[in-house]
Amino acid sequence: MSEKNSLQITIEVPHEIEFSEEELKQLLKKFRSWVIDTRPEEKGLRTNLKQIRTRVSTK
Amino acid sequence: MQICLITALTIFDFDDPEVTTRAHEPLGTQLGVLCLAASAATHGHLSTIIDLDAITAGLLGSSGKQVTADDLFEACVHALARTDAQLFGFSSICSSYPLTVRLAAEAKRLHPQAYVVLGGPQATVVDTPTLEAFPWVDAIVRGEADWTLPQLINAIDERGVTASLEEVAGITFRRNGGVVRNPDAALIANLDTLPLPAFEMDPQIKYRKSARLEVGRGCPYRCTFCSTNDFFRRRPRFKSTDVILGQMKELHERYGITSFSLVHDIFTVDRKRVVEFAEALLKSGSVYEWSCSARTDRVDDELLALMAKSGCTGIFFGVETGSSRLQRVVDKELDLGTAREAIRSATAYGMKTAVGLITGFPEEERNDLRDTVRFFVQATRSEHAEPQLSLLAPLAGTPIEKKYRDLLALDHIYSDMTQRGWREDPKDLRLIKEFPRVFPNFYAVPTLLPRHYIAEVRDFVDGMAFWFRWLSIALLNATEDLLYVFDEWLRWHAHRAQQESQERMDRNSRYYCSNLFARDLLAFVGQSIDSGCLPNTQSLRNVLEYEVALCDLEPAPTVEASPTGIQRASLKSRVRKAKGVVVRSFTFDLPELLDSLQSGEQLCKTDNRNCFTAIIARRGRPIQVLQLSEEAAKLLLLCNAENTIANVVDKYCDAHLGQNNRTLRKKEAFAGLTRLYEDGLLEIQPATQD
Repeated sequence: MSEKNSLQITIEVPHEIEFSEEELKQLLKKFRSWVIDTRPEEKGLRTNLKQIRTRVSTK
Repeated sequence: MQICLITALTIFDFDDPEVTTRAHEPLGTQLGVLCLAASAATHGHLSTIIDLDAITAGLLGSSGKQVTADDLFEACVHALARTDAQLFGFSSICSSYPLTVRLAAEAKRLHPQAYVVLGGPQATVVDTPTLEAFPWVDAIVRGEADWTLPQLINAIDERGVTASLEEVAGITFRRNGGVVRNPDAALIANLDTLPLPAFEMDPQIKYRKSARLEVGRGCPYRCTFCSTNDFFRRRPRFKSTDVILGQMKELHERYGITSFSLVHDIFTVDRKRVVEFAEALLKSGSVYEWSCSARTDRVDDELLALMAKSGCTGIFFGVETGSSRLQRVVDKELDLGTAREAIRSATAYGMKTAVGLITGFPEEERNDLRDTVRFFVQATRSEHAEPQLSLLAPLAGTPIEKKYRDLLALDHIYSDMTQRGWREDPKDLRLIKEFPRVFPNFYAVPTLLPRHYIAEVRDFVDGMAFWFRWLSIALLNATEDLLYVFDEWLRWHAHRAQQESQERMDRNSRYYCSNLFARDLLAFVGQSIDSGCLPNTQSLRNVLEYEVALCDLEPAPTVEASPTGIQRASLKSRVRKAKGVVVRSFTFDLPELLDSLQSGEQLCKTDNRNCFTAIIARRGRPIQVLQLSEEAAKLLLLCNAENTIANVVDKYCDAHLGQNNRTLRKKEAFAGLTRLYEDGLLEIQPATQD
C-alpha cells in the first residue's frame, strides 16, 4: 500500500446519513485499492539523464 | 615494522557522485586489506590503511566541481606522502591495476628506502611480467597473504634490506638484477586460525549497517574464464560455523552490524555446512541478514527455504551463459533448466537474486548469444531477480587468456569487469598499450560475432530490461528472438538518422543508460508494431500502453511526514488527489496482463475490461501502481482541489442518480473519501484551514 496518512482527519458526516460501523465496513470494501506493480524510482522516473550503472569491479 | 596497506580502487564512475558514493558506502574498506592488517598486528606490526575508494568517495562528496582521474591520483599521492612506513603493500584487482602500478611508483619515489610490495588477485597472476616491467616494485605476494606477508616483513630489516627472502614461500622478488619466483605458499588449511579482520580500521564502521565477512576460500570448479583458482586455488576450505557466528555476533555487538555479505566463491558447495550454519543461526536467536554466492546446481528448494528462513536475503548465481553448448565449452557445465528453477525458487523465497551472465566468448555464435539474451530476460520474470550481462574480459592466467594470449587486441570495448568509468585515463592507457601481458583484461579475445555488435546488444538488453521489465518479456514472448528485435532497432535508428537533420546522441553505453534511450525505445516499439516489423500482439500493445503511461510521470516531491493527531474536516474542506498520484484507466485487465508476463502463461483475452489504477510517483520512493475499484477511481477524479467534500459527495451522487437512493450514495461517498484518505491517495485541507 502507498504511504498511509498518519494524521487522522475525521470527516464530519451529516446526521441524516450516519451509518453503523458494520455498514461502514461494508461500504469501505467498495473502495479498496491494492498494489499490482512496483518499481524502484530510478527505473520509473526518467525525468533527467541519469546513469544507471555504477562501475564497480571486484576481481 | 610500520606498514601501509593500500586498497585497490573499485570505483571509477566520477560523473555521478550520488550513484558512486551510494555504491561504496554499504560495505566499506576492502576485506582483504582488513584481513592483512589483522594478521600483521598478530605478528607485532602496525598498519595504516589508505582506502582509495574512501578517498574517491570523499572527493566526490566534498568537491563542488567535476572530479577527474588526475584529481584522484593527486589525492592518493598526497595520502602516500603523508604516510611514514617501511613497507607499502598494494592490493590489486584487474580493473585498477594500471593505477595501482602508477601509485606504487609514487610510493617508491616518495619513500625510496621503503619496500614496495603488490598482492591480491591481479598481481598474483602477473607477478613476473609486473616485476620485469616496473622496476619500482620490489616484490609480489602471490595468493592468500595472511601468513606470507608477516613472513616477508620479518625477512626485511628496518632499512629495507632483504635478508632471507628465498625462504618466504609464495613471493616473487628481485635478486641481483633478476626476478626470483619462490614456490607457492602452502594453503591455510584451518581458516579458523585467522584473526578477525581489523574492522576497527574502517573509520566509518560505526555508521555501517552491513559488512563483508569471509566464510571460506577455494572453488573446486575450473571454468575457463575465471581467475579465482589462481588465487585461492581449488580446495574449498571453510571457517567453522562457531567462528562465523561468533564473528557475526562480535560485529553486531561492537558496531551494530546486522547485515553480512558472506564471502566465498561458492558458499553452497558443501550443503551440510550451509545447513549447519543456517540451523545454528536460527537456534542462536540472532536476527541477521546475510547474502552469499552459489552455483545453481549446488542449491535445492529445501536448502533455499532454510537459507531464507535463517535470514538469507541475497544470492549471486554465476550462470555465465544461456547456451547449453557454451556451458560445456567454458567448462561451467550447468543444466539451464536447473538454473532457471533455482532462480525461480530463490526469488520465491524473497531473495534478491543476481544472475551473472557473460557474452563475448571466442566460440560464441549468434544462436548462443540469442540464448543468453533469452535467459537474461526470462530471469526478469522473477520479482527479485537481477540479471547482469557482462562482456568477457580475458583475465590474466585463465585458460581463455592463455589460449588467446597472442591474439588479444585492444579495441577499447571494455568489459564491465574492466571498465574504468566512462572515460579512459590516458596515463593508464599508455601502460596498457605498452604491457599487454600485465593488463590483458583490457584487451579483446577474437570473437565470431563483431565485438561492437556484442557490446551494443549488451547495452541494449541491459537498458531495456532495467527500465522496461514487462516490455522486455512481452517482446521476447512476441518474437522469441530479441536479437531480431535488436536488429530491427538498428534499422529503425538508421532510418531515423536519414529522416532527421538534427544531430543525435551516439548510440554508446552512455546513450543506453540515458532516458533518451528509454523514450526512443518506446517510440521504436510503437512504430514497429504499426509498420508490421514487430508482431501486433495484444500483449505487446497493452504492455506498451502501460509503459508509456509510466514513462510520462513527473515525480512529486516527497511528502513530509504528516503530524499525528486527529483533526476534523468539514463539508467545506477542499479535497484533491495526493501529490504524485495519477489516476489512469486502461482498456485491458492490467493485473492479468502482468500475471501472464510473470508466469509465462498465455494471456487470456483481456481487451474491453476497464482497469482503473492510481500510479504513485514520489521522489526517493519506489513507484507503485495500485488497482482501484471503479467507484474509488470515479471518486478520486472528482477530488480536483476545486471541489469541497460537499461538492464531491453531490457530484458522486449525481453520477449515480437513478441507480439507488441518494442517501445510500452519500454514505458511499463519505466512506470512499475516508478510505482514499487513509490509503494516502487523497489530501484534505483540515477544517481549521477552511
